[in-house]
Amino acid sequence: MNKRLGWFIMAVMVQALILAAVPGRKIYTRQTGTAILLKVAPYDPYSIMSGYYARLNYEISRPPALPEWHHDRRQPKPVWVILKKGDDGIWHADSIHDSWPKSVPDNCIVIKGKERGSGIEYGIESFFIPENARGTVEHDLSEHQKQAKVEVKVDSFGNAALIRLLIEDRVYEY
Amino acid sequence: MKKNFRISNHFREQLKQEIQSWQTDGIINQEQLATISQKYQLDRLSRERKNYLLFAIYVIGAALIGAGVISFVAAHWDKIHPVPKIVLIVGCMLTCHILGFYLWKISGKSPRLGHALIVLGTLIFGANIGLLAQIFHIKENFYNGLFAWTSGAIIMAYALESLPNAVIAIIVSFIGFCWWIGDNPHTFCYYPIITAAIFLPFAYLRRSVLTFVFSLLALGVSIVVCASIDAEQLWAFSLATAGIGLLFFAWGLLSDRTEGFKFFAVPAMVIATILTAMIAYISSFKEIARESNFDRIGNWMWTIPVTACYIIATILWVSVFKSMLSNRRLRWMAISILVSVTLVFLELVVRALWPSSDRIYNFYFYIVIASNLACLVLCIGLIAGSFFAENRGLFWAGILFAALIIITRFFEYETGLLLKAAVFTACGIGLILAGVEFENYLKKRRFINE
Repeated sequence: MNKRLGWFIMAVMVQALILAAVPGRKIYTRQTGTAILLKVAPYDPYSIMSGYYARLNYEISRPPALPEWHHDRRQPKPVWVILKKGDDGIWHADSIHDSWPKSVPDNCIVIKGKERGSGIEYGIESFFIPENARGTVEHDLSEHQKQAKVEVKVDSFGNAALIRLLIEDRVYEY
Repeated sequence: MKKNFRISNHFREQLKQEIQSWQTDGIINQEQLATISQKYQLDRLSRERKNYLLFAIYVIGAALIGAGVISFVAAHWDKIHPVPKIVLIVGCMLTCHILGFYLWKISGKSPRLGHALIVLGTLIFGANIGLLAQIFHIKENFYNGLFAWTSGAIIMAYALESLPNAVIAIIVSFIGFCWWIGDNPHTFCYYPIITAAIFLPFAYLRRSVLTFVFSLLALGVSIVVCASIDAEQLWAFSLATAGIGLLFFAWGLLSDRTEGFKFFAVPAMVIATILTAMIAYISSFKEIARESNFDRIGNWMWTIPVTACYIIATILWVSVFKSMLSNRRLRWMAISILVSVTLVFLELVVRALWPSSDRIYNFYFYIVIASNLACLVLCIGLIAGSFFAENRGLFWAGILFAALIIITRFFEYETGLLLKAAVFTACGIGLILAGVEFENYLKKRRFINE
């Protein structure tokens, strides 16, 4: 019986650890990260929702002005992007690196992403919306694409966590 | 008296009915009837039936509650702050587990209910992963959540020797594998190896045919999928399927010889026969023979599980070959599987060594002949095997497969309607006559044995 109880306790603890690990990185990022604002990039207004998630793309997802940007990569590859705060309070991509940048200017932060053929993904492209708010948020996003921003926290390892969606003076946080 | 759990309940039910008539006919006396009843615990049958029914009801109830919790996740609790939400859902899971363990293993008063609560706890665990992902807006790599669920389920399965948890783990992991394919080039080919390492030991530990069958299906299908998608070539699909057929049949033969695991033999051999028949049948189409060329492959990850499959199959066949030849029941089946797979394999080798530009015009015709021969050999093996094993299932599988081949070829080669009518009628008559003859044979065998 003791042996069986021991195995059972171990199994329950493993399940609890797994549950702790699922949001672990996001919780750490939310607690310790720096809050920044990112501009939502224009996208197809007819395919905003993917199930219960709003698909978000950002200006920093496809930074065409940067010489290091390769937009036809087929294999996902980790990249590190230095973001710089603009006069409008929005953070923009300053440079892209294949590894952690050797030097980061004082007023900049580093965000980690994955470069795919369609752009760079930062793990903040899905915004969960409860069922009763879907219609409102979807409508607001499609009508005010250019005004949409997100508040994101970025930790010291470059990981990002989505906090809230901002459209003009309306705040969506779930 | 310890119950021999490998005696099927169906046999015990029939025995309970039969021994009454034996006593009436004077074949056995009251004392002998009591001895037989005690040996096979025939008095417990009705109670066990009730227990199984209760267990099934509890598990279905648990599954429905689990579905309800999952739907609840989908509806999303937007009015409650995340922290109390997390406490509540984790609390539900822990309550189910602890209460279930108490009822099942500690008090022992309601073991079925306790086990069902443990299963419910695992389902809630899966729902919790989804809910946490929603709360923190995590959607990328959805398959990671499924693999996390699999990990929790299989650990609980091993800890408590719980079959439902193992089955949940296999099904969820396979769904995760399907998602993994879409997102990760090549690395999904590790899945078959991981499946074999994690799920098969459980099937052997628990001597569970259900888990064994699910594991074999997950293993076989995933190897074939890996080969097809990673190689992007039809011949890789054929190579993988033939290899799986070879491996599983040898596995069945080995299980048949192994005391305590004979019940694994039939499922393994059935799956192997179906796969071999499938690949021989598909390869027998002239369009498939024409289209299937050996183009240059860029990806080689799929060769790892397929090569492992062939190596293990070879080792197993070598170890069971002698005993297979002396086994009247299985000899014909085994030889037919071996010959069919060899024919399919030779086809692929010839194609690979003979570049398409050098092929004579009717090259593919010989490929088709070889594939049809593989089908024919399999039919003969099934039918011959049915006579030695006195097994109706094998007989009808062989006859119906033969009928399928004949009808398919007629539709494929566009022969005249009159000829089609004649052949189909002949097939139908042949089928009926064959069935009657086989039944007569079985009757004669039963008479001889008595």
